[in-house]
Amino acid sequence: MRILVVDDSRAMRLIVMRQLRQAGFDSAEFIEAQDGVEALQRLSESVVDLVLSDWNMPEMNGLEFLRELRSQGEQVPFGFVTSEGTPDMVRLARESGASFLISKPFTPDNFRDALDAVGVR
Amino acid sequence: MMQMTQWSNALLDGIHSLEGGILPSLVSAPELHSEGIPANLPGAWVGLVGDRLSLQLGLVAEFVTLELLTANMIGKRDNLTDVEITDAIAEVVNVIGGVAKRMIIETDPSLRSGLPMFLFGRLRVPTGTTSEVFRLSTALGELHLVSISDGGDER
Repeated sequence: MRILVVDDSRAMRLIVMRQLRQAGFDSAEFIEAQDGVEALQRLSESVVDLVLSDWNMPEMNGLEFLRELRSQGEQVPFGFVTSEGTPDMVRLARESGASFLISKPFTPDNFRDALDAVGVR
Repeated sequence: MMQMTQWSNALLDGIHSLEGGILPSLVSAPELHSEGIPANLPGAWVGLVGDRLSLQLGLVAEFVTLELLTANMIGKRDNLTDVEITDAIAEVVNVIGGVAKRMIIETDPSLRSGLPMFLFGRLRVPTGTTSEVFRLSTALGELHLVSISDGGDER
């Protein structure tokens, strides 16, 4: 499985990848990007099975990234991993095509539950 | 209207929320620090701004403590760079701010988070604002969680 992790914080990308390994995705291959622009570039170079993205990022935020992705017809499972998580943002995420939103901070169980629910194993 | 205790509780929930996956065993019982904002300590700040509330949230400490916090967070002990430290600490304050925001969003639904920033010197505190400082004794050293609010009568 190939997973694209998008966050402007390198520390948070490391934590997300560490916790995904703890959640059972220890054989996954991770690709990193620091914002939506770089993520789109990565996706033009590689096929991935899952995208996990922060919401607030410079250049292109997570919501803009998701909308651009869907406008291109790309249907890869997409989840937000973000410090946001107000009801309005959860609604916006779903309306834009996100499968789930995990609020920071999180645990490996949060990833396991969210990914099980959307059939990513 | 948001009460001071509501904001304080939101901040404390933000701190405690880190104890699970991101920073195990981080915090002992936080104490409210009445001596004002610690001078000249580096740290990260994030803004929460809405129509009714304007808040700046900071996490400041001696640089060596921020180094230890970063090492604990990213699992790298040696040769930490300034970029790694400023990035990690900015993310910690971003997470705390996010938790606090979720708890107070009903007070001001227009509230929006800014991008966190790291400052090596003291943040200039505007006149007419209210500040609170929580001192956090941790195994890694002493941290100070600072909030500066400009909510006018809404506080």
